[in-house]
Amino acid sequence: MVASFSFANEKTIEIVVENNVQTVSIETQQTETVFLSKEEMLKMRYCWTSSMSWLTGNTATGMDGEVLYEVITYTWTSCIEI
Amino acid sequence: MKLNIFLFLLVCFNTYAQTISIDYSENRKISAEKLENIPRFAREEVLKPKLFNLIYSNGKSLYKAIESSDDNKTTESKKVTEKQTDDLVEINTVATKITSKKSERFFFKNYINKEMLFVWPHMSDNIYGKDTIQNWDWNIIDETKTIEGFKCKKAISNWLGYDFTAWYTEDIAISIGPDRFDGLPGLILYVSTPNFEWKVVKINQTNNETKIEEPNFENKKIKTLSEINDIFINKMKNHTPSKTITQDGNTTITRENTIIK
Repeated sequence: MVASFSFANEKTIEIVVENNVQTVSIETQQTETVFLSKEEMLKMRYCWTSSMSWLTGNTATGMDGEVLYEVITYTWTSCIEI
Repeated sequence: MKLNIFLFLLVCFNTYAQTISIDYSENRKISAEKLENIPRFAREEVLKPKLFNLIYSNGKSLYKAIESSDDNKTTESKKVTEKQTDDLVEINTVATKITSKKSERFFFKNYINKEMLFVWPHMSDNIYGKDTIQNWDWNIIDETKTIEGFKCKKAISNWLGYDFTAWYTEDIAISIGPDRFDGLPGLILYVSTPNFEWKVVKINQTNNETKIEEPNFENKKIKTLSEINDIFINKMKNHTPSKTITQDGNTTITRENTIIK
């Protein structure tokens, strides 16, 4: 039994279990495949956490050379049960 | 002593008709303790030296960043980990992104009318500035050392409440330096503060004059260096990290904006 997790586009994930397709909104682009028995798969909860930390290049500099850097961190967390 | 320096500078600016071009490396000085507070992925970028060029000709100078192949490039990396327990499959993706921006900071100085125009980046904005050539009130110290083959003398200043140490050479008798710095009886080759240093990496002199264009700040809101200092101090004091959490279906999206120093 194979559950295949793949992204149809940047915002959706397709979870294929036999011929059933479930679509879950998630803003990440990772593709993962998990191998489980059907029974195992059905009792599982599936969670994804994606984080992205971005040093944007925006800075502020003080007169003594002290530099501040902007960092933006996005975290997406999703869970599903089949 | 001050009159002598003034006369010396007058002679320098009136007789120095050729072009001098100096490259400086700007480096952050950071303690091991401070480095620990910077996210690991950002450390290399934060410590990367930045190259600037100072060009002087006929009473005017321009100090600005040198183009680099890294300018405005974004590099990304990603690490995926998976954890499985009896009833839970967890997949964690940690991605990092670094945008390396070319600094838009520059200083144009007109030593004839003793004015300077400059741009001072402040996060996503540029602050436009106009001020007089600063009075550094340098105190010349009886110490010498050789930098890039030039015999240099030491000078110290306290300007806007910050301590600066400069090394200048009288072998190049022109009263200019990197960034805001000038006002010594010779070219400034090195400046340092507890947080930062500017150091010469290359000097090139030619006998030709170079036309240095004055930037046009028409319709720009103008600040002085002292006002920009106040803006930065307020930013340091008042910045609080922002965090927004939104829900999109069964996905929780968290966006955090923080400042590291």
